[in-house]
Amino acid sequence: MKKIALILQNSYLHLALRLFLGATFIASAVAKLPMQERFIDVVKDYHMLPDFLAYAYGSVLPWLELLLGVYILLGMMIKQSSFTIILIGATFMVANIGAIAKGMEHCGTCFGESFPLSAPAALALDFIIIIAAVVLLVHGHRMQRLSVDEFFKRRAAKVESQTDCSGGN
Amino acid sequence: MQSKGYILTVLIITVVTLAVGTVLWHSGTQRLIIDKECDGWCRGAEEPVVIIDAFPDFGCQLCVNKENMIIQALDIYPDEVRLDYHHYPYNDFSYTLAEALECAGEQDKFWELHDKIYLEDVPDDMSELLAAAESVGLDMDLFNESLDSGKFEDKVLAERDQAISDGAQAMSVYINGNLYTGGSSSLDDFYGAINEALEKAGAAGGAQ
Repeated sequence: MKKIALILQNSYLHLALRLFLGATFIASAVAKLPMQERFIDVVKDYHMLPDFLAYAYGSVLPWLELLLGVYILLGMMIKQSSFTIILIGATFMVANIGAIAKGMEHCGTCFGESFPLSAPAALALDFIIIIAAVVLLVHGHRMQRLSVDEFFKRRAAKVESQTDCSGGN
Repeated sequence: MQSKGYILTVLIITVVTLAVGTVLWHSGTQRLIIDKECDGWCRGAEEPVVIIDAFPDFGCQLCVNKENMIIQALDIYPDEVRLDYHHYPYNDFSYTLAEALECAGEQDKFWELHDKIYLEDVPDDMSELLAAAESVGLDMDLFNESLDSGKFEDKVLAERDQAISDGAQAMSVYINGNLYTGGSSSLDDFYGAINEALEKAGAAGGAQ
């Protein structure tokens, strides 16, 4: 148990999870943005949301995916981004469970035409996304390698220590 | 409290990301340049006012629903609307189904098998496909020979590649070149879109 806890705190694991989440969300957004109209069409066709909400969800999601992908990849606002990714991942899971229940075998719009994904595979990916985001949410306050947050944290600490030193003199 | 530098960095990265997103967003083609002459599998009006270009995939329930709507629309608008069917297989077995349609076409039963598949049940495997082919009265020896030879593989792939180069989106339907985004649940919405296209085309003197 202790070993698992140590692994989950490992900064290299966090970096790998950020790379995975960032790449996944950016790829997903890049696939959806050029065909956003059709993506909205697909969301409507799931019949899980009223039309106006389906339109709003389909319109906002690709942009949110792009921003979150970039934020998490660069290590910016890691906790907030992770939390939002968990929420989005949950909506993906609900949609994919609904798709499987309705006999829709493929997630045609997950990553566009270049990377066809079956609905069960998409569901498994959603699960992995949520787990990865939960790990980052819980340990996001720790040291994050190659991240904007860490860069500014260190810079602030340096300035603070310099101020303390000069104050002490 | 975050430093000014941090906030500025987040802002700059956000703006750059949104700018890249806007470029991507604009790169998508929402309008298809339609071919008024039928050079593939077409059905419906001989001198159409409205041309519906369909790029369905058999594994996509949304496409199956839309193909159903189109077939119903052809009955409602027999003298105005034409369906131009384009192979756009997306999943593995869809390639086989697309080739099977071509093999049925060799026996002048393309649309019979098309309707069997789209209106009744999309075959999940070879045995279901063969049963569907047999039920529409195909000569099964010829059909099997044709399918086994793989002679339509290149045609299906070429059609898919052509669709991609024309900017067509997979699993989509275009009405006179405009992407139809009304979903597949409402026939009224679909007829509304056709009526709108009829009005526009009528005013301009034909399929636009």
